[in-house]
Amino acid sequence: MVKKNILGRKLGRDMWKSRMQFVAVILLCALGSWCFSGLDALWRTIDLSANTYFEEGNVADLWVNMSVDREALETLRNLTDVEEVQARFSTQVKADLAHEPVLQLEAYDGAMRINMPRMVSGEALDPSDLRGCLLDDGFAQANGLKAGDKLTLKTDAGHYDFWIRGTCQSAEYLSDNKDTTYDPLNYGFVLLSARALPGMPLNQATIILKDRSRSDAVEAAISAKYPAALIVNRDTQRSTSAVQSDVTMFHNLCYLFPLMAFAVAAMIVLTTITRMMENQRLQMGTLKALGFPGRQIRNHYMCYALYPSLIGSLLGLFIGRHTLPSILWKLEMAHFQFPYRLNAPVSWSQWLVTGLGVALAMGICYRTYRQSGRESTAQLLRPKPPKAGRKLLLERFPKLWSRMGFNAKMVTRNLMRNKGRSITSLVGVLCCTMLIITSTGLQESVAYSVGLYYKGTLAYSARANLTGSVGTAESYEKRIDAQRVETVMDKTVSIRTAEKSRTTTLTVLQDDQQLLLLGPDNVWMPLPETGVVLSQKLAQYLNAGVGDAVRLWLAGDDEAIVTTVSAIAPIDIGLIAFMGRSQWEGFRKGEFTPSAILLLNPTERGIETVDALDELDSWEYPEQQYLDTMTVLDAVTGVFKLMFFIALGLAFVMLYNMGILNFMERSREYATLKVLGYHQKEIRRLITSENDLLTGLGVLLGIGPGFWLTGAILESCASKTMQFVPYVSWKAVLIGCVVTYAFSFFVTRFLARKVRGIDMVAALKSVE
Amino acid sequence: MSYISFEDVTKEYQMGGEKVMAANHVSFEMEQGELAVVLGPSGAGKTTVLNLLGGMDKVTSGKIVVGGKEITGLSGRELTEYRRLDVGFVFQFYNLMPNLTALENVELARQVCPNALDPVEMMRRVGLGERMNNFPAQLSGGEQQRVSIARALCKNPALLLCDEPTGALDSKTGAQVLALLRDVSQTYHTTVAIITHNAQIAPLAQRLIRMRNGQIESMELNDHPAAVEDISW
Repeated sequence: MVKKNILGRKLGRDMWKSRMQFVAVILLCALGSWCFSGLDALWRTIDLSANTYFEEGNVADLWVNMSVDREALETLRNLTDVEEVQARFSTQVKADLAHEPVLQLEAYDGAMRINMPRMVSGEALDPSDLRGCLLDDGFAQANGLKAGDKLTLKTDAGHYDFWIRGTCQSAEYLSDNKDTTYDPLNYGFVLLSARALPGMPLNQATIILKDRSRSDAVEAAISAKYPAALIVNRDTQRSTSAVQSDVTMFHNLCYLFPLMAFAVAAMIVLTTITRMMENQRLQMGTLKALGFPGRQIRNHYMCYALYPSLIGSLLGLFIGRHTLPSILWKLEMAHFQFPYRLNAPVSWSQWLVTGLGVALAMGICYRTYRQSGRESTAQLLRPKPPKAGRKLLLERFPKLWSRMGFNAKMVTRNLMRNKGRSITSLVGVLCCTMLIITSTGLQESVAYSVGLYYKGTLAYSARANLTGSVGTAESYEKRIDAQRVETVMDKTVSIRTAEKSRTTTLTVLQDDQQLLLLGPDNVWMPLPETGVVLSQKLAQYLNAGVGDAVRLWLAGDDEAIVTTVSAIAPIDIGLIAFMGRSQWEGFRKGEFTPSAILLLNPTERGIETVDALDELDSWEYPEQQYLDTMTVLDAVTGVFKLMFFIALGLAFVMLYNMGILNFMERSREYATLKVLGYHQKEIRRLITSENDLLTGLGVLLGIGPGFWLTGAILESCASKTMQFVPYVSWKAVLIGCVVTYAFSFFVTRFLARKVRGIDMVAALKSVE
Repeated sequence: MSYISFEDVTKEYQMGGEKVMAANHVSFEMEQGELAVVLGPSGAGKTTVLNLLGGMDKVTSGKIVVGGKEITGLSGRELTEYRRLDVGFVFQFYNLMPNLTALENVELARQVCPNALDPVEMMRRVGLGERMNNFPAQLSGGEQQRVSIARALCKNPALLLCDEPTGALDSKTGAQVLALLRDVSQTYHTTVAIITHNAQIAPLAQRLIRMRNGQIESMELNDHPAAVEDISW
């Protein structure tokens, strides 16, 4: 006779009977691992795709901007830890097209060995080809160019005609070097042989290191040999640093919020499983009494945790890996031009979080089983004795206690007597409020931080970038009609402290400048007469404080400007140094030659005047830059939006699950009240007032942690160039409180409606 | 006319695909202030009768009149009012609120009943004047059942329905509870219906209704019910 798997059938039917709880456990486990594995897969995908692309293209570790002759090339090649060096001529030129787009020209000395392009169409460039070039594929497509077409490049030295041999992509230009967002119509790169431009100096050495971790030592050695060299490393090169910044940001985002969400989900899963196990107490006793071996009973009950947690966690893992990276990758493409996406394999941390979900569920199931297992079979066959009642602390104040209504007393007693249940519900509500406030606050903080800079610090309406032969500051001020006209000069410098160095922009401002608000809270601050003002992020990078000595090396200069840090501007976006014009001129490092005009409320005539300038290169509008930066941050805000929905989902599942468990456990009490003649409305009032009180308290207690978590997450995901300022508005707090309360309100009302369906007859029957 | 009148009452339940006749053309009467015992083995239909009488279930056919009011045609809300004002229940397993003290459990009845009696007095009446502030878990089974009776009496009901009130008690405690119920019937002129499968209780009844297979097997009147002290089980 075939032995039937009766326990298996029992398990199946138990699961079906408590399907809502099992579904809740599956959903909670899935939510917990989905968020983490999705974000973890995202940063690993970006990292793997970028690193593979960088490896394929043999992207340089260092870009050294200096005059590179044969001797210098040999010196660099002979430095310890340097594997390969290639010289090239690097500059910006304009393409001879109607809208005069800008191209970054890279002319290679010999065959391309470092920063090699990835061919998209046409053929590779022969180093001996003096008439050919390779063109940025995105630029070519946007401008209707293709292999075989002629391209004319305009430089100060004249016009050069080249034939496009092929179109390509380059890992070096993974991120647009000019604009915040990808703008292939107006910006691209062109690669050719240095021999095609005779007379142009080789002004950049690209270096591959044997060991990238030795980068600082090699940079120091180069600086010692060539103090005027401006060194750009992978931390500062636009593409590599942008990738690094995103990878770091998404990596750090994997932890606080997802793990907090995981913890909330785990807490509810544990509570649910514990209660489900406790409800099986009598059946456990029956199985024991029937003579089932302990191991078999244990394994049977462990399945209560194993199946739903395993299904949920694995679902979360695989759905997370296949949904989040795909969605967010598209947003990342707003500022990266990856030729492909390589999906990273499941990481150990994803397995760990998945396994942790299952292990926690199994662990709590085992613990509950063990607790019941300690009792004798006879004890298990009897209902659990009720907890001994106890006077509340509040009752020691008879005046207060006696003033409370009967319902209030009952609610208070219920809450205090079932402390575990009350605390779990309270913590659950608290966490959901916290997560919703945090996810909303994070979105607000990004917009606030970007706005703080582009709408606050930059007090001008437009910036006209100049190139070529420019006029004097005074001439522009006189000619341009605007509320205020100022000029600035941007210089690429290497700022060095005793510990660190960084190639960045030094912005020289007019002494009486008004259009950059560098003080705290975007208040105007007079420029100090001596010393430089560093942006907060630059000061952090250099580990420099007010009064510290810094040296500024200009390209090709033999002597550094030695000065001190006179102030730190609370600017959280960008690594910039500022200095007044008089001070600059005092250093005798060249005239103040405006590289941009800043305009406040220009008239139409003023704009026309600037448009008519031959030296006008491009316009920049802070309003547009704000929007562009927000577009670049779409992936980050996308993650924050996603967090919002995770928090909502978690709140809903948690509140519903806790509500239904509480209701089921107390349905006997409600039935008794019904038999005693309580109207449904009166019983509903009891249920709702208890839940409303808990929710209200949880919501209030969740506000503070919401602020804290927002700050902690923003701090953890700060990149080297950008730091978001925590900003949680009353709107975010309101959303967090109202949404959580509304969820609880509707769940409670929905459950309270179930009072109608309570079987009063059952209340008269046995305890079980 | 009798205080309680069951007229050809049937109650059918749908159990899966089958119909079960829990009460099959049941007819009986009870007078006000009477202590009646409905006796029968398990499955006889006595709890069904009590549920119908208590307004917790609806008849399939037939008519139930209590105190001149037909309850079979009442709406859900009217049935709640009926339970609230006219009926007191004593359960086999007491069904006390575990987180309310004994006195507060009795006060629970006063919350919904405008003509409620003094809960403290009720507690004293059932002999628990000294245990009023104890929680159910701190009371013995007999004491809990007495709290349950006090809660039912506090509503000052015309009809007290007791489902196996001694089922979970030892004989000595059970006897105390029965004495109390008889006392209630005599003192307050409350109609008390005790549902039980315990035939030893039968001599206490002024009216004994025997049930079997959903039908009334017999109904006997007893002008000289036995004293509680004279019975044991």
